[in-house]
Parts: sequence; structure tokens; C-alpha cells
Amino acid sequence: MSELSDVRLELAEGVVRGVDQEAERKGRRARLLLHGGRLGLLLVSLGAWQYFGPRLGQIVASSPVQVFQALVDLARSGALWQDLATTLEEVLLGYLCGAGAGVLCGAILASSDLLAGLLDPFIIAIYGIPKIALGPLLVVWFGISLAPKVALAALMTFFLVFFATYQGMRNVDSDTINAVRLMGASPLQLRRYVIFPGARASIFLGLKLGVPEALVGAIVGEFVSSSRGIGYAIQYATAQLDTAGVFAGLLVLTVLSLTLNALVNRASKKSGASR
Amino acid sequence: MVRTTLPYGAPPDRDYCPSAAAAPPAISLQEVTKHFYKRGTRITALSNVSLHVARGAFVAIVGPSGCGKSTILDLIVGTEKPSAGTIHCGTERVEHLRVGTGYLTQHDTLLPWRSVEQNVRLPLDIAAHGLDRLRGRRTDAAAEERVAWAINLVGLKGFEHHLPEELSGGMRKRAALAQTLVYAGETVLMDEPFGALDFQMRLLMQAELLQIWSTERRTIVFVTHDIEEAIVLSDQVVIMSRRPGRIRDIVPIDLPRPRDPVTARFIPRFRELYQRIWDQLDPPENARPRAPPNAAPPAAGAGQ
Repeated sequence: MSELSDVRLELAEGVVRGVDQEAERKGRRARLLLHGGRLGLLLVSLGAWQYFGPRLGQIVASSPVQVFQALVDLARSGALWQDLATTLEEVLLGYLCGAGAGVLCGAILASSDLLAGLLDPFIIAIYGIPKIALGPLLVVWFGISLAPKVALAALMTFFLVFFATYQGMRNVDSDTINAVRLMGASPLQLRRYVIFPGARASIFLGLKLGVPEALVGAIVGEFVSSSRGIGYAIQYATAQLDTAGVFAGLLVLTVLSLTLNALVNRASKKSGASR
Repeated sequence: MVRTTLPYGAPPDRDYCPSAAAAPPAISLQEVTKHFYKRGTRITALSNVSLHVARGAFVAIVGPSGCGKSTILDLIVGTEKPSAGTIHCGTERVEHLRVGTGYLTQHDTLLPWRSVEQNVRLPLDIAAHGLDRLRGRRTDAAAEERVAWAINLVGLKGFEHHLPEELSGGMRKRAALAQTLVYAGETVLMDEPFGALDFQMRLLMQAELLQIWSTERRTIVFVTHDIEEAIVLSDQVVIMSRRPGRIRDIVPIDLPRPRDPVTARFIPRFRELYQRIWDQLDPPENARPRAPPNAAPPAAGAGQ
């Protein structure tokens, strides 16, 4: 018996992963190379834009320097901050409402076969509508203030998060669920200990994909009717044939999207959904 | 009708009344039949199965795959309902999921985001919820102690903080066993728990299980397709026929205890028992006709 235990321990220790320093050093070099390559690619693209842009025509392509100039002008005049605040408010409110409702509805439908079966065709039908087409209708319903943009952003986010939550919770292994039920878990405990943690990765994927969708909703809402916001600024610059201004707006949107994405990533890591 | 009574304390009385009996069997199935419906056709998994398992007994069930071995466990635990017949655990009739029945399945059901220790503690976290915690029914110190005891028992000391993915298959099985020991009441069901392990690891786990069972006498029903494993571990081997599953025979295993899973295979009696079980075992479906029954069983032992 004791001999057996010794064999067992040896077998066990052989399995546990160790950290190989050699491999780590190689990994660090590879990462450095990767980041350097990315920076180089960015600089080459900007250089090409600066060189070829003006040759293609001012209105078509502008140039990085002009875009930067436009951005500085916008920031100096204060218009940039006002537009950014407006759009940020729309996006955040819409995203939070849409994501919250998505997780809630996904969780409810994943827990009820009856409700899921009943609502399935309707959800698919509504999902099939291009949400952007609802923009004008939302303006009729909610006026031209903040509300229609928030509604559109929420609608865009909702479905992604809803489907991700629903599928994630449905895909949790039924053997595991049964095993934990045998331990005496109540339905609520089952969700807390097994189903939500099991669906975490899927839910966070939905939340991540939902960020640019919320931006689309807010910007399209501004396109439909607005007097403030980055979307409005882009539309205004387009009307003035101010291509540099359009690119400045796009740049701001890119930064906004990346920032929100980083926030969701951080939350995802903190919750243990991804490492 | 097939009616079989195990020699260990099960009442031979036909009109057996659980409350009146002195020592009711831990588990009893009475004329249980189970049908499944697959694409409109009815499949009979179990046909008229009666089985009594005495308290503290170690019973193994063997049979060709698809003979309803696992279905018996699902019925005992209450995740499936019988199409006919009744099932009792002690004096209580099984009608719903029987919370507190240990069930070690073929696939491990550890939560991948919880460490070994957290997984083993999960049943206690669940039990110590809400009102119970307020009443202080299970203090944290007691929980810690029980978790440590179980981890120690299965030989996972030193691996408490590893995640399941960082462990080998055998170690994951141990962790699952520790978890089961923490919450299980008297009855522990095991469905080919060591089926996915290599031969050496299986021997180690068998030794471990016997060790644990000898100190912690619980009723164990152990489903396996491995005849050697069944003989080495159990008090009785229940032989199931091919689908529809019926009980063909129940072979009492009279090998002395304590048994060592390796050396038990060299006892002459082991080979007799093996032969007896082998002769009654149906070949799996679609198998070619088997060699004559007097062919020697495969050489026993691990070559050590």
C-alpha cells in the first residue's frame, strides 16, 4: 500500500506544470518583436497617407497632419469635449441599459423552457430587423433629445448580450448541474455556483462585441437628428467638405471604442472569465 | 419475474414492508422496468429488475455496454423515473432527486474555475447557506477540517490550490471522490469512475477506494465493465444481460478482506469467480461469436 502511494505521488508531481525560464525569455523576445512590428506598420501607413493623401486631392483623403490640426482646433474651441461628452453619455447609457437587459432576459429565458419556446420566433424576427432602420421611428417616439440615441444604442447591444448569455447558460454541462443539485443546491445556488460562472466567458464575449454596436447605435441616432455629438460633428464636417474634420471625428470614435473595450476586458479579467 | 435477494441482510420476505423490517436494505429496486423513447421507438433499458443492497455493502454491477447499468444508478438517485416498479432507499421511496446521494460519474464534474479545495468544499458552501449559516450550524472551522480530512483521505494533500486543469485524470478523479465523500450520506453510487484511467492508475485508485471504504463503511453501488475490478472491490457482483437489461445472476465474492487489488488477482478463487462471471456475460451487441467458455480468462495481475 505504501509503495503504491509513493508511485502515486511521483506520477502526480510529474504532471504539475512548471515554469521554464528559457521559454519565458524566448517569449519576451517574441513579444518585443511583435510590438515593434506593429508600431512600424502604423508609422509606414501614416507616412504613406501623408505622402499620397494630398496627391489624391484634399477632399478625398486629406492627410494625417491636417487631421491632427483639425483635432487640435476642435479641442481648442471646446466643441470636441462637448461632442465627446454627448456621445459618451449616449453610448454609456445605451450600453448599460442594453447589456443589463440582455443579461437579465438571457438568464430568464435560459431558466425557462416554456418562455424560451414561446418567445423564440418573436425574438428571431425582431433580431432580423436591421436596428438602424428603426432610427427614424425612435425619433418619432422619443423626440430629438438624448433618448432615441440611447434607445438605439441599447437595442444594438441588447441582442448580442442576450444571445451570448442565453447560449452560455444553456451550454453549461448538465452532468455538472445534476451533480451540484445532488449536493443540495437550490435553484438560486445552482445559478450562483455553477451556471453563471460557467456562462461567464460567453457573457463577457457578448459584452465585448456589444461595445462597438452601442457606438453604431449612438452615431446613427445622431445622424438621424441631432445638434451635438461626434456623429453630428462628422455629419457637419462632411457637409462642409471638411474631410480632415471627418477623420478627426473617426479618430475620436476609435479611441472611444478602444477605451471602452479595454474597460470591458479589465472587468472580464477581474471576474476570472479570461486570463 | 426475476426476483433476487442478496444474502447480506436483505429480507427474503416477498411481501416485505420496509417500516416493519428490522434492517431495511439501503437500496431496493422492486420489479423495476424502464423504457426510453428515441425518435418514436420504445427502447426497454431495464426489464423487471429487482435488487436489494444491504447497508454497508459494496455491490458491483457488470454487463455489456448499453445494458442499463447506468440507468439503475440514475433511478436510485432519482434523476430518472421508473416506467414501472418502485425504488426505495432505506424506508423512503425514491420519487425525486435524492439530495445527499453520492454520485461519482464517468465524466468528472469538478468546476474548472474552482481549486481542488474549493471544489471539495462546494457541498459545504451550499449546505452552510442562508439560515443555517446564521444559526451557526456549520462553523467555518468545522468545514475546513472536513475538507482537509477528505483531501487527505484521497491523497491530494499539497494540491489543494491547483485548478482541475492542472491535474492528471487520476488526480481529478480523487478530487471528485473527496468532494463526494464530503457531502454523501450513506449511499455512494459510482459509474465507471476509473474507466478513463490507465491500468496502473486504476489499480491505485481501486486500492484507495478499498482503503476508504474499510474505514468509512458506506453502501457502494459500483458500475463497471471490468470484471476484475468488480471482483477485487465488491461483496457481490450483479451480472446484467444485454438489453433489455435483466439481472442474470448475483455472484457473492468470498475473497478475504482486506484485499489488495494487485495480489487478489493471484488467488485461485479469483480465477474461479472470473470464469463464473465471464461465462454468464453476454457479448456486446454486433460482436462476433465468442470463443468456447472454457477458454482461459485473460491473465490476471499487473505484472509486478
